Amino acid sequence: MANTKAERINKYHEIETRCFSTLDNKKIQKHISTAQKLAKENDDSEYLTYFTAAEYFYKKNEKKALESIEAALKIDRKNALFHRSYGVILSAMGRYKDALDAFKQALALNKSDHRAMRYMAVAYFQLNRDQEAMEKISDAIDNGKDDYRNYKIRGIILSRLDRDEDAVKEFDFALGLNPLKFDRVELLRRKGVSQSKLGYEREAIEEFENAIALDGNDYLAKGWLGNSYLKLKEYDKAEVLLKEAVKSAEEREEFYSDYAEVLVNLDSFKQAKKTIDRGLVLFPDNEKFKSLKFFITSDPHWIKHFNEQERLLEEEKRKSEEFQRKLQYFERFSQRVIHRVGNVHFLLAGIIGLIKKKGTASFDEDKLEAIEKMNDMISKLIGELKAIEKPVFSEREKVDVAKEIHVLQSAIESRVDAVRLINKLDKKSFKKNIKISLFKESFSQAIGELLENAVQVNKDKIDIKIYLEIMETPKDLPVDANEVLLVKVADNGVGIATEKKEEIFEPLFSTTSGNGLGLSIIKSIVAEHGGFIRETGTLGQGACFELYFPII
Amino acid sequence: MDPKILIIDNLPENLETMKEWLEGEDFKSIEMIDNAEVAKKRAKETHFDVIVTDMVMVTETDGYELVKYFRELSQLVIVITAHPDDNVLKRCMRAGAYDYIDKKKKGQAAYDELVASIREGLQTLKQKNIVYNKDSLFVRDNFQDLRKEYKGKFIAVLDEKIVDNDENYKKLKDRMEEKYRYSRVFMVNIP
Repeated sequence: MANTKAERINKYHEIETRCFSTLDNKKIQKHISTAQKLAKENDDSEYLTYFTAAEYFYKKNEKKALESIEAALKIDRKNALFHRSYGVILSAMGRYKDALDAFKQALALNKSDHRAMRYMAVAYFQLNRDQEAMEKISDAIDNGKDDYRNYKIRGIILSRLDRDEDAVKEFDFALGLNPLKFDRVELLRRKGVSQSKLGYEREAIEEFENAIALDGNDYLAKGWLGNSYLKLKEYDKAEVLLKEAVKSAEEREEFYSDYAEVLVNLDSFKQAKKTIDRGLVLFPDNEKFKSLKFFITSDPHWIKHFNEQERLLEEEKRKSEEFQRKLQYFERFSQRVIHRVGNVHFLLAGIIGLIKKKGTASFDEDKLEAIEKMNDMISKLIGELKAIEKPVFSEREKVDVAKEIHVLQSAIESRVDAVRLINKLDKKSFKKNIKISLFKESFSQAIGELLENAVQVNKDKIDIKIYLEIMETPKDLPVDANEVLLVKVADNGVGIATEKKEEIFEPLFSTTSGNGLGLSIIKSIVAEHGGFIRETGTLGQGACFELYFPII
Repeated sequence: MDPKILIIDNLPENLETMKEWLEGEDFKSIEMIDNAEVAKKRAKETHFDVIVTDMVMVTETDGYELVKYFRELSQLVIVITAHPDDNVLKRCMRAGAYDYIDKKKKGQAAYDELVASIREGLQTLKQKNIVYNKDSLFVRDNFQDLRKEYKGKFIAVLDEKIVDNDENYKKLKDRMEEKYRYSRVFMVNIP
């Protein structure tokens, strides 16, 4: 038991040293509680206040710690420990000049306090007063030859003064004094950094690896190890390590820029660009980021890559849009097919059902005709299903439009005595046998179906006229081309009511029993070409379909 | 009492088969029309107890409008179609169709369903005004307005609409029984 005040003060100092010698917060808290209890029991109010400050300090509440230590100093102005701790707290708050005064006070009261000397050296170091820092740390070593921390600090200062050869010796000496694990990791790391600076990359790597072996989470060692591999141009190894270091501490400028450099060297285009751009946001003045940025925006290899990337992206977008369009097209088409087949099924099911109910006698001429008609419908559907794969997946080819239409015309004429072809292009381009880039199959299909449609809608005989013309794209058309091919199919049949002009192109719209491909599919074929379709006829006078195909 | 049935479908062959099927089920008064516009006119001229219509001849919006149109004229509208899109059918139901029959059903199921639907629908119609008392409430709620127009007369109410009126109750009753054989028309004197 510490009975006298002097004994208790010894005890308090011992507890303070113990706290300082561990990183285990639980242990620290336990030590502090012991001291607080002792101070309370013996009414040592200055130490009670002091340990309150300590408690706050270890809990990283520097402001409260400062208040408490000032209170402790009010009670006992002549306590060297209090002054030193006051300096430590001020240092932690970045107030190094004030800290220096506090340490001086501490030293005035206890001339051989090497810890106060070391803290002073650190404060000078932080204030970039390296010469004074060197002097103070040397004093500290003279007064505390066994404390490895003194050598560590001298090594750090020497390294900054580019005296890495000497720094390595200090770190080695400190390592020989059995430092705490935490400090051992730091010493190994710092030794590695100094060796790396001296160009002993392989030795440095060994030290960093030792540090990482002791503490797998030491991202600083990983960062420096990555830096060494970068210097050795072992980019793959560097990339893994720096990535981890950057992940743990984005604010470490050197690792971040090293990481960017590694990525550039690995031709990791996308990630490199991302890292450099982010780096320039975080560290706008960093020269390395600036030069890396310059490199990736001016190097032909990189420019080519980014252009290629952009092209690929657009290509992808275009493909996905095309796919969507095709999907919708198929969706509509399959609905139509289901609908038609559904009707055929319904009729056949009815006829079969009647035969089952009433016997074969109920099967008459009419029913035979109906079945034949259904059979024709199925044949027609098979034809459409064969055709459907072509318009969407075929490639454009040069099509002799006039010739194509002549073929379609003859096909219709052989069945229906109704079609006349008027070719406005005879005088001009078609004489030269001009060919236009189209999806041949679907183009013929569309025109053919348009003719069929006209024949089917109008049960009586009618004239169907076909005009062909190449013209400048009319301004009111949503077609992206300078010139268009106009195919105009006009008849003198019943025509289409004004209010129906839009909806005739909707899927499943049918003015007849729905044998033709349907205007919606003709429309989608025209759209496939990037063209436009409209109906401009008059009800009662005839229908007139205008199909515009861009010339590309 | 034979219900008057109108069937509408684009394919005349479908109409013939449906007619023959329904006749086999003892529905004798059947009219067939293969064109929506003609059917609309016909339904306006004559009252049909049941209208069975396909949805193919028109676009989706029209399907809705068509059902609504027929529903104004007949108490029982049944949609029969091979259309694969359920949304079209839902819209028809919202427009007031009594039922919808999928033509794509296996075997003769669509025909059996159609027959069942017509029978059930007619049965429901007979009971409707007794169960819901809808039309008598309509008269109570609109009594003052009705009085301005029909004071001293008998009025006939069906589906919250005045379908006819007469000073003579017997004449009105006969007319209504002749026209709406499957619906219970609510008749009342406006004093």
